[in-house]
Amino acid sequence: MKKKLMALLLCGLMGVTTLAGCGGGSSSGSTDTAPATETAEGGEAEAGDAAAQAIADRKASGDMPTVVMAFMNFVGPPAGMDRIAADISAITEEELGVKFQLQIMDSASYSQNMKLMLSSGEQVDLFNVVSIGFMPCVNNGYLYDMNEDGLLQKYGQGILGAFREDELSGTVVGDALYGIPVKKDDAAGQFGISIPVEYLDAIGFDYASMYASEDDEIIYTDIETIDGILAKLHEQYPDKTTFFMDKSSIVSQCLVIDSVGGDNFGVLNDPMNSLEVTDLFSGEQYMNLCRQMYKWNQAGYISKDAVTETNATTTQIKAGSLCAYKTATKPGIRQQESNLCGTPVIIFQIGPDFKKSTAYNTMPWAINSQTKDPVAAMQVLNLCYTDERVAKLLCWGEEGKEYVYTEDGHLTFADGVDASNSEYFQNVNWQMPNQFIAGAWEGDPLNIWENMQEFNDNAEATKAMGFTWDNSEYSAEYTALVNVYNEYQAQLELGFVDPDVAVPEMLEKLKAAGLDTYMAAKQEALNAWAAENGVA
Amino acid sequence: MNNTHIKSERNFQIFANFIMIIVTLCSIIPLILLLISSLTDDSALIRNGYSFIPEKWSLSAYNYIFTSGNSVVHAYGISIILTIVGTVCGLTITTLLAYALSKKFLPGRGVLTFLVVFTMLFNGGLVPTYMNYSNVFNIKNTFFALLVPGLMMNAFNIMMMKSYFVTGVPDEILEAAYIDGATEFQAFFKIALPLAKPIIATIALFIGIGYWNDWMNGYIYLTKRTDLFSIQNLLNRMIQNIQFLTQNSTVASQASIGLAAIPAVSVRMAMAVVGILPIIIVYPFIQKNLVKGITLGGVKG
Amino acid sequence: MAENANAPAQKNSSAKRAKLLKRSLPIYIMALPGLIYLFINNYMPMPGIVLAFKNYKAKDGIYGSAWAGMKNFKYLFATQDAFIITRNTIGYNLVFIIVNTCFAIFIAILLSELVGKQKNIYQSVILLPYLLSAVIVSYLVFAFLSAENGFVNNSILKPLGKDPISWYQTKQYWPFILVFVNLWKGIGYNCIIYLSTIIGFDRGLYEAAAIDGASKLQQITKITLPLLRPTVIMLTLMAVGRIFYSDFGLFYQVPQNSGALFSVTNTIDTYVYRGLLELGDITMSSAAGVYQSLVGFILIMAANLTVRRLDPDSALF
Repeated sequence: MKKKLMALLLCGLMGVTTLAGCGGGSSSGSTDTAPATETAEGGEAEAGDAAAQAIADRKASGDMPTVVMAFMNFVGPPAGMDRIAADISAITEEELGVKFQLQIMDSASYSQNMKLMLSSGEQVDLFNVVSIGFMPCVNNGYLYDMNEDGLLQKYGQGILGAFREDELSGTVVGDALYGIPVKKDDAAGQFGISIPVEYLDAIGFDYASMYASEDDEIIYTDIETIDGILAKLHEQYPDKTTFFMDKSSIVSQCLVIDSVGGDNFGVLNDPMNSLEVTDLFSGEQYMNLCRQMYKWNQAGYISKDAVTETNATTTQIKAGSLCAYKTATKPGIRQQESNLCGTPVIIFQIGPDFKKSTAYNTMPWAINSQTKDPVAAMQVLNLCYTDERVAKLLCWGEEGKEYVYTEDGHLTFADGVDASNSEYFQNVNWQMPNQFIAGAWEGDPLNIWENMQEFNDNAEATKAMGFTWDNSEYSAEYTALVNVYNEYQAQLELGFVDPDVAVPEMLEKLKAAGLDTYMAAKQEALNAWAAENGVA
Repeated sequence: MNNTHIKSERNFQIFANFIMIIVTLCSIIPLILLLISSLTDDSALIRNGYSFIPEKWSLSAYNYIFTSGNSVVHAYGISIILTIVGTVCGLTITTLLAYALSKKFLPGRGVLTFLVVFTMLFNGGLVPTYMNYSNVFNIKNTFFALLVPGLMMNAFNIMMMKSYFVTGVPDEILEAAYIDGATEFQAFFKIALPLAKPIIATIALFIGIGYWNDWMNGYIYLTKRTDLFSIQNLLNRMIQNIQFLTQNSTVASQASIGLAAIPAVSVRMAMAVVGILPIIIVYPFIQKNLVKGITLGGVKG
Repeated sequence: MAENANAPAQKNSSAKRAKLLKRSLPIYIMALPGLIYLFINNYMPMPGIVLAFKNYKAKDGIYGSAWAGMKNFKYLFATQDAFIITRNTIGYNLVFIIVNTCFAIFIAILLSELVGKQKNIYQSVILLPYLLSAVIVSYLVFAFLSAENGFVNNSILKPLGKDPISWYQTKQYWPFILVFVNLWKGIGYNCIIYLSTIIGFDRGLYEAAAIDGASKLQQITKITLPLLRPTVIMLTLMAVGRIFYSDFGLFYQVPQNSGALFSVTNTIDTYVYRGLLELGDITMSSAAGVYQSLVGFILIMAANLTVRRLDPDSALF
């Protein structure tokens, strides 16, 4: 069944790639013209017709539907939201005959507010599922199946052109396609360590010679080297905390494991080679990490208050209370962290670049299952992925008001505007449909998005790429497991307890909470998925 | 005899003052800390933790709050209007209903009381409540969304007031008024209300605090009208977002960017300080009513 | 239920009935705005309780979705923690009821007997902690208990020559800390209700007692406390109805969600919260609410029945 879908997708895809072949990559070319109208040839003539027809019909009738797009940021609706939405609406009205509105909510309320709005039938047509969760959305029936009546095929040719086939497989459940991934860093460099240059200089550490090539921004190294650096830092700055990790992301950003199905209860400990669902906590990797942290904690590198720390790592660096912290890496990371820390940093990386099975479904864009006009919604989404003007407005706001171009083609703040007073500066471009066509911000290399694509393509990927699991039948076990894991997690992973004692203890409790049942169910689902998709 | 009496009274006053000073200190010391940390330089706060004698003082938090770009002053206005309107409305319907339930002769009184208490135990849950207000009454993104849902009246306040009417407003006085030809309404306004002043002041305070402290309504019902945010909405949004970013692993790689966009600890502290200021201003008025009750209470016996 | 109080009025005389109606009508009119509000705010959404028994799909709506039986409740019981979270929830609530009531009455009596302007200051100040949100309270608690910079470790234990304590990793202290924080936050609020009740008491009784030579302590134990009894009973009854609920902020924020403390801080609400944080299932959270309400309902009915037998005037209904 799923193969049929893939064949369909592929069919569309081939048409677009031949088309885009001369354009040199789907994302970098200028696509100011409406994609829906430009693709009326070859394999998707029919699709192009349908799309053009829909637009023509709408314009002829003079009755423009409105599409409401929702996503989250960190501080709530920005002052310039309606202005930006009106600017985008001007484009969508002209290109598609559709009016456009934005609905931006802050991260804390987003999940709940979206659930309420989706449940009560309020108008939201397009939304990002981040923080609500992909599977919960599927289970509650919030998502529109984009394969229904060939919706994506007919009206989303530009989207098909922006992705490889496998990138769209992560949002497929059964026969249904429930979302379109975001163009972002799909992989993550595992176990990156960020240390301010100033501290490294103070301990006389020669980092300059460690770069593999001149234009590298990351130093690939091993845990022993880091161990040595931390020891010296601790000696040099006994009053500062030597090392800290945000406790919510330790496993996900340090270990090369695939948390299949989106949780740590049953993972692929060897994701590049095996589809065997095994227990994370008795695995080598987890034990080694906990032992390392225990050692560092015993050596006094970690603050006694680490478990209850709520200040961001970068804020701590800024305040001068911390020497080194863990981060996931990606192209542009050194600039990003240096900005956040307010001082240049050096990025080390211990693990490989790694792409998990959740890479494409943590924050896909989706159409509300109760939307009145799915065709209009699909076409607007399509435009977001392909129209540079829309992408720029979504990511950076209005030219001249929020941003201007520098001489070399970068984007930067307009005169007198900065992050604190801009009416539209969201910090959530990773959530926008396609930031790859929205230009490069000052400080990043101009070719950052090509680098990003390369990074995504070259990262090691799990064998289970595209696997999703519905754990709703096992929600009782899941809740019990989460509570047990929460009890031990921070203490173990920040090295406050001896893992050789605490891990077996936790494991025993997890087993009592139903770990084996849960893992077996997950394995079964994974096997079924592998058989269906021909993954061995 | 009289002498020992005065002595015992004096001893009691000393004892009571002593205890109350300790209790008051317990309450105020953490609040002084709150005030000081809102006046502490942020980096110093992170480096040294909270301190009564900060390494570096700073007004930047208050500067941030009261600069024009922020809507704190505006939110303050919303909070004040909301609290006044909410308290007046809430107090009115609560008092009326509580008085009715205190009438022993009222047919169906038991059933009505049960219906009131039942709401204390069972509720439809968030989603149905939301759908009710947002789809049926269409109050989403309006001032009514802050005013109406949940806060105006609750079973606890009704029961407290009802019990006061039963015990503190003797039936004999009301009956005497009826015999003198007063209507139910006259008896209520002229006799019951003045006698119930202490509880009215108390319930007014409870309702007012409920409105002043509430952020849930704004959180749920105000998705577009940020201009209607109350002071608690602003403060809690910051706090909840920090919570979200430090806990939610799905956005872990974006968390540090997000956290950098949220104002620092000292700002949160400053907003908490700003948030409790009004009660210091308003409370004396409430107290005046609590005292007035005494004199009236003395007369009524 | 309450008609017996007016038994004579119920005698089948139609004149009396008309008179009763004439007296009742204005009272019903008074009750009306409140009842309308209750209807809108509480009873209109009430059928939504069925959500707890549904297999929710947005397209079908709450009432159209398929029935799920008791499936959504399963997670509340299918865990070895069920005992711990139930014990913690009930245990803390019982302690809170007793401690808060005793202290609130104690403070209320002191305030009512005090003379002088300073009592206004006391009263205002002790109310202030109630106005802080749980997260702010958690920051303040952290300021005292932080392992590195906390006042307790640095300013109390250190000068005494004692070892610092990692408070957030040491669970035996937390039952006391939580009870204390709860008391600290709520005392000003809780005592007001008793204070206003005491103020309403007939001062003549006290004057008479004083003339008879009763000491202050005797006046309190012989007059104030007995008169407070109905209020105490009623507040306790209402608290019993909430015994399966816990103050989420107190048990989640104040201990900073520290895992080492779970066995003494995990309650039904925090357990459910952790599970549903990423599960995001609205039917399961609804099920938790129904479970808590139902237990509260049964307990309050039983308690009310008992009270009605012993002291009919103090019963809720």
